[in-house]
Amino acid sequence: MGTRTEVKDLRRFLAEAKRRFPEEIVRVKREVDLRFEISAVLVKLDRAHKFPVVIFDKLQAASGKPSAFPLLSNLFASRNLCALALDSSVARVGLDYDLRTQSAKTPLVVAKETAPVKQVVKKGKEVNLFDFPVPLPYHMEGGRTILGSVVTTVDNQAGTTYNCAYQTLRVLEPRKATVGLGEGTHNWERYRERVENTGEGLPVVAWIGHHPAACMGALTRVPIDVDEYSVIGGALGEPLRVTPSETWGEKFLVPADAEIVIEGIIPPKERGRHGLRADYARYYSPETLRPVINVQAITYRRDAVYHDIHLGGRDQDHLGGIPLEGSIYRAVKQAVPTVKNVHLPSSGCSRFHAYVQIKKTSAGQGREAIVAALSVDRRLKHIVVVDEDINIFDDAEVLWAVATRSRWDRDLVVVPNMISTTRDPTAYASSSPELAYHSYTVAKGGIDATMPAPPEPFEIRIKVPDDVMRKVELKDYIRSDTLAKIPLDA
Amino acid sequence: MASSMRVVCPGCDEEFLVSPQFERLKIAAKCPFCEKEFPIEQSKKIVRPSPILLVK
Repeated sequence: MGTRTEVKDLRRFLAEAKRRFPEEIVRVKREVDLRFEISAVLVKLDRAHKFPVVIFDKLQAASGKPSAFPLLSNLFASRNLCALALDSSVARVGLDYDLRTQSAKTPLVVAKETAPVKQVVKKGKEVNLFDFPVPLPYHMEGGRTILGSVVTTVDNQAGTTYNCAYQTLRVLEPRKATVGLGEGTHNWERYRERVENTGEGLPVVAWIGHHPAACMGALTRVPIDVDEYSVIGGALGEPLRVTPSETWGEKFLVPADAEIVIEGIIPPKERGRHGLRADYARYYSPETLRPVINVQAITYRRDAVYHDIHLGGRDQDHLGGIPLEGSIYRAVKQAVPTVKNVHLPSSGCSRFHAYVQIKKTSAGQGREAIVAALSVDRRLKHIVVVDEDINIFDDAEVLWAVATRSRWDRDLVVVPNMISTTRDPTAYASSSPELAYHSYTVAKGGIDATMPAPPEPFEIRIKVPDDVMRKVELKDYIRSDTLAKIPLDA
Repeated sequence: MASSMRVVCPGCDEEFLVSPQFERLKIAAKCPFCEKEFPIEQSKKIVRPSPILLVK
């Protein structure tokens, strides 16, 4: 399928991003301590409201030796770059993601000899997970966790349907890690089924680093009998190239253009300590017992980049939030056909709050949108519905709509005891502790911050005439160097 | 609830806001766009505020 330079992978994306938006790719040449310094740099960038992709060139591996891999983080922190990855715009990237992932593309199998991820192959005792530069991000981390791992399984029957999910690997030993397989997830279901039916362990692959569209494609919510490699191809806009694994050959195909692939088996019944670590809600999750993976092989590109996720930053927010925006839009559209857009802001970790923008054409649409949105994902907690004139990418403007267009006694919708997530500190557990994953509930709701539908009158918003706004350029009134020095509002 | 009346200037067809007090006191509306003054009843359209906003 064409020359390798045309294939969508991480480095092709970085090259295009650097060409179009060079100020959004930053390389750190200074040696960085994996204990907290990576996060310190990224958190300080966050606080300065700057979200570039950052590549750290000089690191020590988790083993203590100089790392052979640079570390790349903040790949998804810029919504502008996420839009570039999906050939979209900042405003539409969530919606376009949803459209793309509905057009699945059958994966393309390529020979191992031509697969970049096979340039280096390590098996058996050559395998050492501590060779990767796995950081310690926050002060209470209980160990080294590989965060950018897309854990993939194949179905236990025909062996043709792949499921992918971002699930972390907590490194325990050179060839052993725990896997963040939560009960109720598709990968967990495959594991349970295999152990029950055969008594054998489950083959698993974790791939790290790819084109951001492929990474986001791995987060699509589809039924367990839908092949996610095909959905990832939809997100990419071209078939995902796959190649036989080292351990199982053609029975388990792996992304040919990933940076790194880890192959292993999850044995039945063995559990290890997983966590304590930071999570997207900006709190710590406690340690749990999770299945282990015994690593059989690792393959990677000769100049592989280790892709890490900036936990608690926009990087993690957008990775999970952008795929969710499209799902919410689609659900709301069934109830309110005049929905315009949906945004999950970082102020709600791109999981808890959703801003839904509608063109109001009749009474009640605000409440309809709230109820439709809340059903989409267990993490969603607060829905704010606003009119078309509100910029849903501006928290202040949304809050202005709440301040001036809503009333707590008439425009608030509250639904008690909806399924929640363990990541929400306010969620309350049910009385059945053995149902660890499903038993958290919380009251959820939304606020209708829309104006009444026409022809009901409402106040008129102030504005400068459009022609004057188009004519006035700040640089014509204030020198660019002076403008650059004006501090951003806190 | 909206507390303003909406009127349309008979001179330039632009819509603008007027206090209901002006209608009660029979004070002429003045268009902010073309500065024409006119009795409110001569407006091309009059939308009066609801006493209370019930349903959105």
